[in-house]
Amino acid sequence: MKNHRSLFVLVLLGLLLLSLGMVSAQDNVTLVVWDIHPTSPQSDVINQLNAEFEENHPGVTIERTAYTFEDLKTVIALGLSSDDGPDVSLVNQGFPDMGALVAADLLLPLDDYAEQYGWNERWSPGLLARNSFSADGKEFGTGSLYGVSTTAEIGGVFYHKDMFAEYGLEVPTTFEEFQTILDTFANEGIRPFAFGPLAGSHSLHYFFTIQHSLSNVEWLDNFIYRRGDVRFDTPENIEAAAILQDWASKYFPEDFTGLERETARSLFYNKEHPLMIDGSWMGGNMIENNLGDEVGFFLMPRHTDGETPLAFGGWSLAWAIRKTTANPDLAAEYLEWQTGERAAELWAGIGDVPAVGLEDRSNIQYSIQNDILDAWESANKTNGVGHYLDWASPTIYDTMKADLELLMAGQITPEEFAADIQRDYESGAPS
Amino acid sequence: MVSLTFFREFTMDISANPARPSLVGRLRAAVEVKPLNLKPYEKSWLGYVYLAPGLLIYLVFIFIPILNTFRLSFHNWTGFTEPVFNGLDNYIELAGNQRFWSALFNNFFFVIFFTIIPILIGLFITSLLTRTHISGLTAYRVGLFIPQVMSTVAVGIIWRWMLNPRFGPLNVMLRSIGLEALARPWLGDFTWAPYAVGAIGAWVGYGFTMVLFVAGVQSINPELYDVARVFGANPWQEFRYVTLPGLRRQIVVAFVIRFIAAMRIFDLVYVTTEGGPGGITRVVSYELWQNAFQVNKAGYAAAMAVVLTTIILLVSFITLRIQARLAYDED
Repeated sequence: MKNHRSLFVLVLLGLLLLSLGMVSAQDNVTLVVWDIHPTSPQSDVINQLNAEFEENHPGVTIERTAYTFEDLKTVIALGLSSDDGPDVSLVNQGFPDMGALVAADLLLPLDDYAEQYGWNERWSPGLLARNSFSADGKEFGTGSLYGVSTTAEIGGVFYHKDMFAEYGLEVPTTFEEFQTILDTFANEGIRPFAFGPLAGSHSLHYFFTIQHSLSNVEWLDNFIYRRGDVRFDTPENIEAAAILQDWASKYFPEDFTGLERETARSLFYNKEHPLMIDGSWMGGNMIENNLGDEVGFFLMPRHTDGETPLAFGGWSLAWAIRKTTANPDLAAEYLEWQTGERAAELWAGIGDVPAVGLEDRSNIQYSIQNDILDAWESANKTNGVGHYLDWASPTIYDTMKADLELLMAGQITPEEFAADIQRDYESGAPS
Repeated sequence: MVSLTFFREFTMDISANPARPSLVGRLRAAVEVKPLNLKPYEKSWLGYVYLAPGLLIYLVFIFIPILNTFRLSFHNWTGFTEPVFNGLDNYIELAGNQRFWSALFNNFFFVIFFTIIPILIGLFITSLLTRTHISGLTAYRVGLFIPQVMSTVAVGIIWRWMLNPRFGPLNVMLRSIGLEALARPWLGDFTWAPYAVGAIGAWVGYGFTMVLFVAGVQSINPELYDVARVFGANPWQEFRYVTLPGLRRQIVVAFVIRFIAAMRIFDLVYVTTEGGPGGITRVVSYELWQNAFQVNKAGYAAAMAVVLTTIILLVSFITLRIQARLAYDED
């Protein structure tokens, strides 16, 4: 009997606790957020921002899941179509990702919030276009805004300042001068580039860099947004492929085909190679490797004298809102927070480039950060921010990666390369 | 009860009466007569109750998805929107897709490394472990089995490091013993990349075949080995005429399971080469994943899955039939 009574009391207590939980749950709002920053220091920035957001919004709990980029791509459609999926998630741009999600009516158009928070003034139309789609997901670069991004990305050349000094070299202003730098090192028996195309996008970024040095913004916009009758097999692109093929035999490490991007980076850190093409996102890593003042960064100069650089890049994945979220206003406020000034300060603090720019550079410690910020700000001002060419079709990343490997091994010609990418581009048109 | 019958039959068999059916036939009959003394209805419902939890999991997570994949393979489906029926279009597209066929060819190439070589290595190690007495046998067995239980992604990352052209132990070793000319960028080399990936597969696979064969050997009548030695058989003859025939069933099982592994490789290729260089290590599962999740052609990817599954079932079925036929002939 005694046992029964204590059991009864326990059950009562349990019920009481449960009901308490339910009452408080009604007051609380949970914001489910997915991002692609599972590792430090990016993850710490997100955690810091989330903690501050929760502090400023009593009763709001952020439930964060950090995926890798590839994992997020795999789960995002399912997540956004589920009622307990993410209220806010990072979404990759382009037809196969954001375009497909818009077509499936899974993302909330942000035009009203853009008005409310002044997003249209904060970022240039060229950047906002990258997060815009027509409502059917078929036209890219136009229509409604579906996301806002935190950091800018721009591709360029990292170099060891002391190795440049040793050979009396300076930051080049034309592609020809750059080519001379490469030859200077090659003549000394040094393969100038740290390059690791095994498993990853390094070869694409090298190609984009050369391609952009010959290309122009109009062609790039038309190619990415599929406007007009744009083709890939242009003389400029064939020339870019020929230059890469030439680099492969003269300036890349002899064993480059088996090197990973990470290996290439450590070879660069160890000064086995004086140059490396990579993105502004590497600034933080340079600092972590104690190279914040030893390494410099510049954008690849143009072939024509006097033209300002055009660099591949854009901005990071877009913070987007699930169409069926119960708390759209709160979610929009979260977007504003993730892309605002406080976020800019924290991202700049780890060596990244805030897309909103950074007016106050008093906290900047290392010269590499200034180099990267200068590069971004000048490119942004001179309309010199290009594109990731692999946004143009869902299969183009894979096709281009395989074709670049064949090109660099001399198994296909630059013409064949351009023709194959053109084929992929045509077959990848959104139906 | 069964064992009693067995022994009676067995002792009779020794008298070798040619008019009687074979030992195995009678053994089967003896086993089949009265397995459990249950009434028929008891047997059926009780059995299903025991099965229910596993069956339910199997239905929900395996069987229904398989049916669903089959259904989707006749649809145009992006993975985002409603599937639209398109008949055999996916299969027609697949038949004309050169990339799919070269990926399938690569899968069959990997059968050599994921299936045949592990079986050969497994047999070799088994013959070593069984013929001589080695102290600490279990420790060796555990050590050799470890690759099999490791996550393939971890294996891929470890080998990527092992095969790194600059820092990887393999090239470092080659250079240190003066064989610098043999050092290669293994995973990025147009000639060597498929063999490098295959070698990793073989390294993963032999632990399983070894454990299977070592267990199988223990069920071979030790008297046969004694007889072989009495008649002066050398190690090769002993292996050829006693161990190998005794392991026939295990070899078939190993073949089927490792063949399936070769057909479904994904993670190893994904982690080590991403199908490169130039697409020469692409496999069907990689194409499938790309189409389903990168290109949003989920219906097309489902058709690929159906074709792959059919090949696996067909080869497994044929192998098991051959095995059954051999067993029957022997009886």
